[in-house]
Formats: sequence, structure tokens, C-alpha cells
Amino acid sequence: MSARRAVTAASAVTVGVTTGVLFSFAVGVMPGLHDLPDDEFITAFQHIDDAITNPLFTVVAFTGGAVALVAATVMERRDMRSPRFVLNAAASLLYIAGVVVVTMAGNVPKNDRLGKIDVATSTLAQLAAARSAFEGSWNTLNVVRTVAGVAALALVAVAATIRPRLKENTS
Amino acid sequence: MITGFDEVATVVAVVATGLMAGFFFAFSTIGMGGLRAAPPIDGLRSMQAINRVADRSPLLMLGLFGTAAVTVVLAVRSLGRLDETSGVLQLIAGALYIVGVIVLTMGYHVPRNIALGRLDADSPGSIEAWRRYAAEWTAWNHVRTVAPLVSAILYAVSLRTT
Repeated sequence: MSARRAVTAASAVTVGVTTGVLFSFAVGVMPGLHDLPDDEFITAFQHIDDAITNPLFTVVAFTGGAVALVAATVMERRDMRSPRFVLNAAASLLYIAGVVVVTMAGNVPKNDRLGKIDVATSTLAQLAAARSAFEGSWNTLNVVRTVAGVAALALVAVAATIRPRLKENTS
Repeated sequence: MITGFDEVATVVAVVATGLMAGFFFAFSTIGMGGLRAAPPIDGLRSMQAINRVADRSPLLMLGLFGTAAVTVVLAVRSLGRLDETSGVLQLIAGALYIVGVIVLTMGYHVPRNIALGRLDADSPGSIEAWRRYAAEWTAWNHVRTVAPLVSAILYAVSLRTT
């Protein structure tokens, strides 16, 4: 297997794993937490958010997918009209805009605001307000990221099946 | 060389097993990491709520069992190509998903989720039961993460072998 094909396959797997994480929040974690009262919802999410800083997660999940996609695209640069280049480039843009930027500009600031709530000293009304400012819009952003991730994944998976048009460098 | 129906099904399998690996990876790293760090009553109640929802989620069932269907079809078709590397890789990938995800989930995680759902969070013994559940559940969830990840890699490699 050539380096180009290996990197395309690696980006398909990496983006798949990251999108699966977003998917788990969309269908498992957040619908589950939705059933909890405000104080428990906020406490549970705050602890989950603390765990997100787990380097294994941030490095593998977010950075890994972007790096693998961009590397796969750059490796196709000698034939920029080839389907492999176009699909990899489109997947990179979708992933970076729809997953990385949405996360950094949308979900992370919301996580940080929710993280500042002190559940023990807040009134019930403050907890309700903090939750309603967070939950619905966070979930919407998460659906956006999940769909963008699945779309990027589909593009890179198709790219993985297409044979390069130009001869590989055998060096 | 994998072509035609098998090639399309293999691409679907890379995507599907990769997604399922990510699904379980989320619980192994942030999901359970967070809930185990939370006050035990909140962690217990959160996991009970997540399990209640997950059991009824059509998208999750589609992910779990739809992926199983693809891996089984590919494994059966690979039986006729065991003289090729790709056939062997796909047979191993399918077996890994079925044993490492489906059998493990049904045989280990589901019974423990049901038992957890029966706990009364306010009774004192429940905290100890939650701690034990969380530690053991997570250890076996790592297996559920690695198995489909290896499947995804094997399927991706099989696209490019003869």
C-alpha cells in the first residue's frame, strides 16, 4: 500500500472515530442527561467537560482528524483535478469548518460558560437559566458537527477507493 | 482485489466500524471519565439516564446492528476468497466486530446496565455498586473501542491488498 493510499485510509478511520464521539453525544449522552434535573445536569456536564481536556481525546479526536485529512490532500497536490484531490480537499474543508471551527467557536465557549456555574451556591432560577442558555443550542451545534463529520467521512471514504491517476513515486 | 459490491460494502464497513469505535471511545475517555469524577449520586443518575435513552435510540441500534449486518455479509463473502489477503483480513475484521462489540455488549454490558438501572440512587449500597460498575464497565468498554477500531483499519487495508 502506497503512502498516499495509507494516509487517505488513516484519515477515514480517524475522522470516523471523531465523528463517532460526536454521534455518541447526539444519541446517547445528551438525550440521557436531558432527563436529569437542572443541578444534576449541570454537575454531570461540568465533569464530562473536565474529562474532555483528556489529551488522548483532544489530540486523537480533533487534531488527528484534521492533520490526517490535510496530509492526505497535500499528498494529492500533483494532480489537483483528480477526484482524489477534490474529495480529500472537500473533506478537509468540511471537517475543519464543520467540526473543528464549530467546536472551538460554538461548543467550547458554551462549555466554559456552563463550567463557571457554581451549582452549590446558585438559586434554582439561576440553574434553570444557565441550563436553558446551554442545552438546546449546544445540541444543535453538536448535530451540525456530527453531520459535517459524517459528510467528510463519506467523502474521504470514497476517495480511499479511487486509484491514483498519476504513477506513484516509488522512492 | 476487492471490487464492485464488496468494494462499496467495505467502504461502508470502514465508515461504520470507525463510527462505532468513536462511539465507545467517547465513553472510555470523556463520558465515563467525567461521570466517575462527578459526585457518585450524580454519576449514577446520569449513567442510568443515558442507559435508558440509549436502549431506545433507533440511531444507536442502527449503528450497532446495521454495522454488524455489514460485517457479517462481508465475512460470509470473504469465505470464498480466503486464498487472498483481503479475504483473510475481512474475515478477521468481521469476527472482531461481532465478538468484540456485539457479543461483549449483549453478554457483558447490557446485563450490567439493566442491574444498574434497578439501583435506587438514594440507598447507601448503591454508591459502592456504582463505583464497581463504573470501573469494570469502563475496562471492558476499552475492548469495545479497540475491537471496532482494529476492524476499521483492517477493512481500510483490505481495500488496497490483493
